[in-house]
Amino acid sequence: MDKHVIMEKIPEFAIIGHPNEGKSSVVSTLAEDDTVKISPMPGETVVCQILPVLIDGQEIIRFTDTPGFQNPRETLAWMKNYSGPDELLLKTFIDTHCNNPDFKDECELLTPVARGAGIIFVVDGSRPVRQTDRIEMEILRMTGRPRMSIVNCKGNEPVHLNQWQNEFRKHFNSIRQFNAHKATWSERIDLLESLKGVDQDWQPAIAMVIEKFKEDWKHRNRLAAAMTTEMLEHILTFTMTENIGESETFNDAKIRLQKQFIKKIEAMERLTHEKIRKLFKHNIFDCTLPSNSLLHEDLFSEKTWQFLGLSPGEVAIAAGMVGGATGVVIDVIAAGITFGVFSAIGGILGAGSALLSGRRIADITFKGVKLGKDQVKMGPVCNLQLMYILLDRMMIFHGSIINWAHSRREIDESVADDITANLKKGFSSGWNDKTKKVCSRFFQSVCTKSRFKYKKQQIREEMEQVLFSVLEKQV
Amino acid sequence: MKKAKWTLGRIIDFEYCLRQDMTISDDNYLKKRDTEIYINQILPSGLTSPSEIFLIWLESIRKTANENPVRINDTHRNFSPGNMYEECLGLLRVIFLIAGFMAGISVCLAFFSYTGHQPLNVSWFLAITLFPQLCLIMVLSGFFLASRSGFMQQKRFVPYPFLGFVIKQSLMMLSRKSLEKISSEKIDAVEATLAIINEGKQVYGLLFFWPLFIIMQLFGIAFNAGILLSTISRILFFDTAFGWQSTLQMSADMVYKVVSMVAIPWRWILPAGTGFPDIDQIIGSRIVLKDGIYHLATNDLVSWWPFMCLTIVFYGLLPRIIMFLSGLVCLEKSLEQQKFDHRECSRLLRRMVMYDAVPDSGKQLPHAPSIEKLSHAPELSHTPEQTPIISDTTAVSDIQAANTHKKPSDTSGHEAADPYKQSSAISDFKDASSSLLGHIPPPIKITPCIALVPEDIYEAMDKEFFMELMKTRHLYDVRKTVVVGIDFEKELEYVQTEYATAVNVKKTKEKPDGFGYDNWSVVMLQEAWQPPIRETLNFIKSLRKVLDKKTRIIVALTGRHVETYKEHAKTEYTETNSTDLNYNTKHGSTSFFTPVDTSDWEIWKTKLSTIADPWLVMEKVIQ
Repeated sequence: MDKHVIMEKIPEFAIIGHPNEGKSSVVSTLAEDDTVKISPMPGETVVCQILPVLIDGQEIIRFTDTPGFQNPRETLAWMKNYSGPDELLLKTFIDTHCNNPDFKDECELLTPVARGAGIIFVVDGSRPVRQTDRIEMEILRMTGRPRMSIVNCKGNEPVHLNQWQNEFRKHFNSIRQFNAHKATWSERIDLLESLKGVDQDWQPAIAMVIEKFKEDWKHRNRLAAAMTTEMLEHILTFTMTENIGESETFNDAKIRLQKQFIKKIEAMERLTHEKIRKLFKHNIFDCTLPSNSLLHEDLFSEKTWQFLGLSPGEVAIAAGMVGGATGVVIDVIAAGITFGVFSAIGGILGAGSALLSGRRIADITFKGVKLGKDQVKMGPVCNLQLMYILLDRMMIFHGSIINWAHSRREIDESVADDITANLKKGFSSGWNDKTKKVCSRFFQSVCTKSRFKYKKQQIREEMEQVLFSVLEKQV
Repeated sequence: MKKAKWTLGRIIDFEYCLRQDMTISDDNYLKKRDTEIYINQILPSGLTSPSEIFLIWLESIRKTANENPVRINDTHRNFSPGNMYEECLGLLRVIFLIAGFMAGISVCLAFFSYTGHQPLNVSWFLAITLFPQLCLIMVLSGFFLASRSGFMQQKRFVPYPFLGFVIKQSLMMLSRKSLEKISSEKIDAVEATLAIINEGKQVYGLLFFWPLFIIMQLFGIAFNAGILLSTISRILFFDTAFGWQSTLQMSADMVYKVVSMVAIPWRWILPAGTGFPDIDQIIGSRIVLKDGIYHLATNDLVSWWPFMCLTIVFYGLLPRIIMFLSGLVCLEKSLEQQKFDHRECSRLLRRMVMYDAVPDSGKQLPHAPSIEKLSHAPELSHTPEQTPIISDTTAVSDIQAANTHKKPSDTSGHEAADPYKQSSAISDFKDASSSLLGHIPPPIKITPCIALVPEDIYEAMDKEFFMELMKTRHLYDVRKTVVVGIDFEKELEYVQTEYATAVNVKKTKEKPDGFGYDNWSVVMLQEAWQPPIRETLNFIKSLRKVLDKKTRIIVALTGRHVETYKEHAKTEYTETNSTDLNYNTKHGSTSFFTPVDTSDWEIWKTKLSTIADPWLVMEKVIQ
């Protein structure tokens, strides 16, 4: 079927439920919009809020946050007494009650349903089912619209899940458990997959939405990889030159410059993180990083260098790869007649040098160079370990951000711990040799002046590809 | 020593302190403080009326706050909005007195700009000085008579409805978009503020109208005094001629009749020619434009001033003085008639006399006050097929007996868990409060009530234990249990019938000091974790309509029924009180009735406060 035909009618889902069940949280997470107002006070949502999901500027699906039911009994009573055509039930209800303040919320929440939206009924699975819930389910059943139910556990455990499931089976086409505050990207995709089963007519459109979501996700990771590569290039080649003041000694000027130099590098890293944050549509994420996150540490702090990056042995091996790579270049130039001798020698030299300096990697030093009489120059910091630390920090940031549901507004240490525990596995020390080799080659190409620009570009692309693969695995 | 009395300032301070208490989440602190006041200051005084009790309480709170202005946990500090109000009122009185006086003089100055070419027109003088005042007095008298005769509610002519109307209209004028930007908490806060104004009106009636009324009368007195003084000064120090004229062809005889009628209040002592002009003087002081004034006799022209002065005195000054004095009397009467029976007062009273030394964690029944032999309400008739009523409670004496005769040693097992036990000062206090709990102190009485229980929880809960809790903990004797949540209209109808029957029977058969007319209450059990939706609030409003205005509606809240809590409660119960005879039946119930989450409590408090019902009370089934 033609994509344009499928997308002509944008699928719309109204998130409906009792007050304070977490409807806004679900919408916020599904639509990746952390600007949705979420409050522990019931009745925060008083009017419908339409949250379109845009990909490449095109709206592909629409979620509508609605106020909670306020007068379900009377609403149901009216609907049961209604004797007109079924298709006009909602319209008549809204027309009849639109000026009655007692039914303000019901009119508001049924408006998207009346215009054809599917229903996602949200309940809190940590509380028992009550008569009011049954009445609300019956109202939704009477609308005749396709509907699915979501058990969103506001408490930690869905203690009453079975009870809810039994009730849902009577009224809904599909049931799903979904914790709006902990849901990851893949769980969101799973939920969308479930929506396909709600109504056969919507299957192609929702399949298209899922496909677009997946493409968009890949695109974001690709961009994040490119941004990271660019950041590494900038940081590893960054230099600063400052004048030495009249009453200043060379050492004083060096210390001053060193501070500025570190600040600049940290700012470059922050800028990249900021760009990635926006890429993943997080506006308020930054203030709620887990308190134990290493990202709270400065880039050049002792703790950062102690826990991130590679171990001295791994640095030596990685450096060996760099040395080996140098040798390979010479071998290539010598058209292979050296039988790889240069590769071997280069590898041994590189590894030996890194091992010797490996023990001192934690206290990185910045050597200022005197330029002429009154200038001092700093950088570039071509330090392999620094590159791995930057990569690890980016991995932590990326991991946190993709696992941070958009509905989360405050830090929950238990969730933060979960995230941190998962991230440990993805650090650079666990990467395979192939990945490390590409990283090392990239390091070498950045830190050495090569005449072969096409080669540099090729290595850069390889690096981006490797980083993309690593980021994709973080999901 | 002069006995302290309620004043407006004290009432404002009292309300302020009550509202400050509402912000303190530490119930135990409040209970301890209020019970101490009750034991140390109220009980020895022998006073029993709520009015006297609260006055002592207020004085004590203010004294403590003044002595320790920054005492931890005491949010009252030494700020007194009552003093501020009285100071403002004093200042307003002075301002209005001066303003009235100046206004009177200004009006006269404009009138007395006499050039000697023409006499001053008496009818014009009376029209600008007296006519508006007379109209105002007549309107007020009309309202007063209408309200006295029951034709119109008295509160209709007080500023409250107008104020409420203006605020509501202003809010309505806020566009829908503006309301969207305001968070629900802020909307609730606005509604709660409106509700406070509304509640104040319901509780205190015209009390806060009288000071405004008095100030207006002071203005009137000063205004008339200003006019009088100006007139007398003009007469004393200037040669001024007064006459009368009219385009209408009025005869002098007619004018004389009008003047003599106006002079009725004083003509018995100051007759025509002295207190008011006689017919000749009236003829002689008529101004005819074409004739000029030269033919008019001086005696006739000056004959008007006594009439003018006396008219101001009798129709302007005296009525204002009378109204001023009436305002003072009404204010005093209003202060004396205050019943202090609204929600926060009843909470305070209960806090004073029902201190529970052992904080309840859902594991132990409270100390039961020894309950006097209750004169039970007569059986209320009902037809099962038409009614949602589930049970009649006729005999609760077994439960009472079990608790009343509980030995002191019964509670010893729990004292280890009592955080207050650690302080010796509080231990002493605890002893004192235990003895206090040996009887039900006046003015608290156990009141009969109808309990409304949602059908969702009716089956799961232990009804007997609930009744026991309500009686021993909250002093409500559940006589009827109505299951609600199926058909609100029918349920309300049923409650109305049952309530009316109960009240009528009580009225005819019981002693006035027993469970009287307004002593019946309605307890509405609710799960606190279910947010109060409009449906619930509307139900409460409808419930109020079928009950009397001052019938207490108690929203009794319970926490979430969780399996883990049940296990926890069971374990503790086993460890601490395994010998309790009621254990087997209670452990399930104690786990059903769990403490209410603070956030849930706050949500309910905010939402219920929007109803503006001063006799709607919130209670925690388990503290």
